[in-house]
Amino acid sequence: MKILKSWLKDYVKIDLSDEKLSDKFNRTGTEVESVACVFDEKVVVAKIHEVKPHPGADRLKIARIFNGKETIDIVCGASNIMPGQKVPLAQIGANLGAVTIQKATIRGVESCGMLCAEDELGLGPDHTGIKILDENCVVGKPLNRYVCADSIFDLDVTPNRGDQLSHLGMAREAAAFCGKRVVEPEGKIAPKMGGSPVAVLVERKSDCPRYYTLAISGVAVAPSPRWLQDRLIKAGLRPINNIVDITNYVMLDVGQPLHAFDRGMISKETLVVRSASQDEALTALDGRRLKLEPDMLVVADLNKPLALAGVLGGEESGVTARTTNIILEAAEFNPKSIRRTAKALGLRSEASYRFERGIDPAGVIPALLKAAEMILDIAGGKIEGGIGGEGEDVDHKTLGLFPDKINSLLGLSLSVTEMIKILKHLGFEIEENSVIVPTWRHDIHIWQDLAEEIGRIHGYDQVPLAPLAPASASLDSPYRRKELVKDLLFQLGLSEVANFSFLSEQDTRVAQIKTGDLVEVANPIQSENRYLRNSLVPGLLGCVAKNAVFDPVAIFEIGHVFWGDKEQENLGVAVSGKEAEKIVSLAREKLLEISALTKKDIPIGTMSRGELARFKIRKPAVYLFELPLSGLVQSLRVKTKELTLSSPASPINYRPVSRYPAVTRDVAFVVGKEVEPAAIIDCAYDMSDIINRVELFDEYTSPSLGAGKKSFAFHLYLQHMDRTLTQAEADDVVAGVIEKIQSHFGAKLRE
Amino acid sequence: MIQIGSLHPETIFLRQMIAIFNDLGFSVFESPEADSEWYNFDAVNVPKDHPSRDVQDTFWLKDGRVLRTHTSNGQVRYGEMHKPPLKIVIPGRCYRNEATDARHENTFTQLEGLYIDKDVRVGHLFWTIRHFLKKMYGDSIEVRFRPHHYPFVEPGMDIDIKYQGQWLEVLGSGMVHPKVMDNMRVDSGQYSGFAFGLGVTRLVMLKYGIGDIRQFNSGDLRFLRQFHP
Repeated sequence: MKILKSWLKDYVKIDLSDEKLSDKFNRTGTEVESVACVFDEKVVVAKIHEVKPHPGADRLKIARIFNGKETIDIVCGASNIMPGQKVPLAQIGANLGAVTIQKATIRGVESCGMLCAEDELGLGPDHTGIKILDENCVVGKPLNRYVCADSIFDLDVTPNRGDQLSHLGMAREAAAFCGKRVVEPEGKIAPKMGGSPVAVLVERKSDCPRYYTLAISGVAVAPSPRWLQDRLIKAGLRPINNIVDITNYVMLDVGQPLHAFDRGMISKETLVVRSASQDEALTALDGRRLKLEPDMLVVADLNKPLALAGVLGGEESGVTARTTNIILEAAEFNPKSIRRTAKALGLRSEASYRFERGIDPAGVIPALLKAAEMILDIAGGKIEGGIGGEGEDVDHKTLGLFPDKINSLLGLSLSVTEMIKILKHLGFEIEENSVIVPTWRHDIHIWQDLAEEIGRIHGYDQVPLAPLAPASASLDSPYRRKELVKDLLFQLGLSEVANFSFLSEQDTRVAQIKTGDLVEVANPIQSENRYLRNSLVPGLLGCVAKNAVFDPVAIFEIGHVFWGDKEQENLGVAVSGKEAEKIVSLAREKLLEISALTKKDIPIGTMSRGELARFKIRKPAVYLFELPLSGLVQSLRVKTKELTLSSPASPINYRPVSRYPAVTRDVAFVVGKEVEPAAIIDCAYDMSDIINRVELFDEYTSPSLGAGKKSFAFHLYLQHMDRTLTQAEADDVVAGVIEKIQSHFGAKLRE
Repeated sequence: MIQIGSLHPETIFLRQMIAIFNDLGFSVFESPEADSEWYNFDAVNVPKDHPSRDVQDTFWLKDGRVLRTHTSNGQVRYGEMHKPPLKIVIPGRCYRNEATDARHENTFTQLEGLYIDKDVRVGHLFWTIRHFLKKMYGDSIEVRFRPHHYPFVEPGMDIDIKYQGQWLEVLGSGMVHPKVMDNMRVDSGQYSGFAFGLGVTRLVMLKYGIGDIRQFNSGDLRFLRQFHP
């Protein structure tokens, strides 16, 4: 939600920089996503070189100005400009609230932008002349480096805090953390209850605890005044006409959604709040035809639905340029009912968003009157009769205040007076040992909620840290046993993969899995997420196919599989390449060694040519097995408590992976016995960024190498981040690596 | 052996994380990935027809279950079966039904922590998290606690660390909500506790400077084979 700093100041005197205010909001629980100055970078400081009369108009002038890059002519109507002054220039494309600056020809003279008055920049109310800037503003620099009268805060309001969805709501927050009071302006009109010319019948009171109307006749529908449009636009709403704009304005102002009906379109002067009937439909304000269900609440006249209550108005009864008499509606609807309706129709409006989160029941009539007052001011007209409709009395919730419990939970030692002070600033009232919860706070139910209010305003940085005593936990868990299995496989040279738990329709065809017993996702947004996997094998084979550049591909996965209403954790191993069969057998042997399983518990499978082709695997041999993990870990014969899990001995230097294919090269060196392979690997990495991976794959000594000599063989994986690497480029880098290793380590390349 | 193997970066990272919590007496508990609406939502105070459900885009299964949106689904499962003190961490895979890009993935790993005992305070939570972050990222790490709403806790907080000059949210936490304790059949008048959820995938990305979250489940050995203990 977007709020304007200037608008907050309507309610509370805050004197904080944007940065400070932002930090305060963040630290008290409202996340600030961004802060923006109201005019953008295209409004710059310019210097006037010359002022000439306009040849075609006495009251206009032509200012020749320098914008930091070039000298241009601007047509201007103000009388206060003189050569030498520094002034704000809105260049072509600059956004000033409701206006985007465009190149214009004014009485035959081309104007490349606009010099701005104070009000046009939102800096103040003045429109008598161009804003003259301070002498030390640098020509050509964006103006918002020097002045920024208003800022837009984009806030992320959590779903429990519907009361924050307005400027008044955020002003209350600001008041609480600044230790100030919110001052709400006094209303100027006070119509009495009852005596409205329009009758109201509320049929579903449980879903509409209050519904009030005010009839205003003789309004002049027109565009809103500039200041009103500006505020709406800055807060992210589109101006429509003065009546609709005022209802929106009051919603952003105090958080109460309002609606205006064209009274001329309501038959028999009666509004009914009722359930929609089967097969009823409504054309919404945005032109969409909505099919209604009996669960949905509508505002209707005696013939037809006029609006989807609390969600969206109807097109037919909306306010248009021809409207002269209106009915203004302010109501409270049941959050759950609104949420169900909005969800069922896939509609989300500013109104439904607020009703879903709960509005202030005590604020309904004040909002109605505020809007009416603005309408009389801006659109004219007069109120007919009094306030129509009906509503329950507003409930005041009280809670016990338990200072000891609050202090003990927070670990603080605040006095009762300090607690009360914070609560009062947030709008709570105190009555002996209990507090009266503000009517706008629907999130306060238990004393822990009060603890949060006190904690967040007092500041969590004030909470003293309380250490936990070191303690030993049971180390033997299925988790730990699983990790020991992973260690065993990785020590055999296998790589752990983590594949998605999903299968697409296509995956089931490739793997020839019958879909009947698969668990199906009800609301997948991507076709990849249609089913849950019932086996790790399709994922493992996908990995084998994807990593064609590796030989061998030796991988394992421990992951959950699903079928029917069952879920279990499996272990899967797949290996491809020349030595595939040997590696898979070895993995099985090792598992049998450490557990009570027998060979028949781990049957090794292989793949036919047809199967390999379906998975797009271009390797001649793939061997694999899959088994439930529970039997394995339950029968482990190792002393799980005594074994330590592997963890990195040295820091891992991560290199990003390119989306482009890698080129591989194998190189082998003969070096002195004292040389560590890690040193050679580091040396190779330093050579070039296109080296993604250096892997030792063979190491041996032999008399034929010479005394005190050893042989190391490495795989080099080379890739470019932005494009496919050419063979020639790869050869160049590899040649460089060879040369460097030879000179550094006295190594000899083995051909 | 012919080559050096590798472990998934989340595996390596979880081991380090869990070892730190083991030393504070937390044991490991695991919960199912496909779970009932009750354990994933209602039991942890995320009611039906409440906007707090929208915060987590959910994969619903045709049989009415959900793919867990957090490993908090293990909280009440464990609480029902054990008497306080409860002191566990719950590692595991979680799911969110959202479009994926370099920053968002529908599958990610979380480590949930839960500690319920007599006289557990906010300060215990803050100390524990600070202790953990210092062990993982070094003593100079800057940590900030910020109020935030999570239905399962009251009060609730987000925890940020300073990373390259910017505050970055790394975990959600708070004091266990009495309703959640009721569902565990733990007396909230007698006990209090804290819970936290750590985004493991996100922390691994930070640790190694991994720019694209989609690498984790890509099966690309050029990525995976860089991580060996």
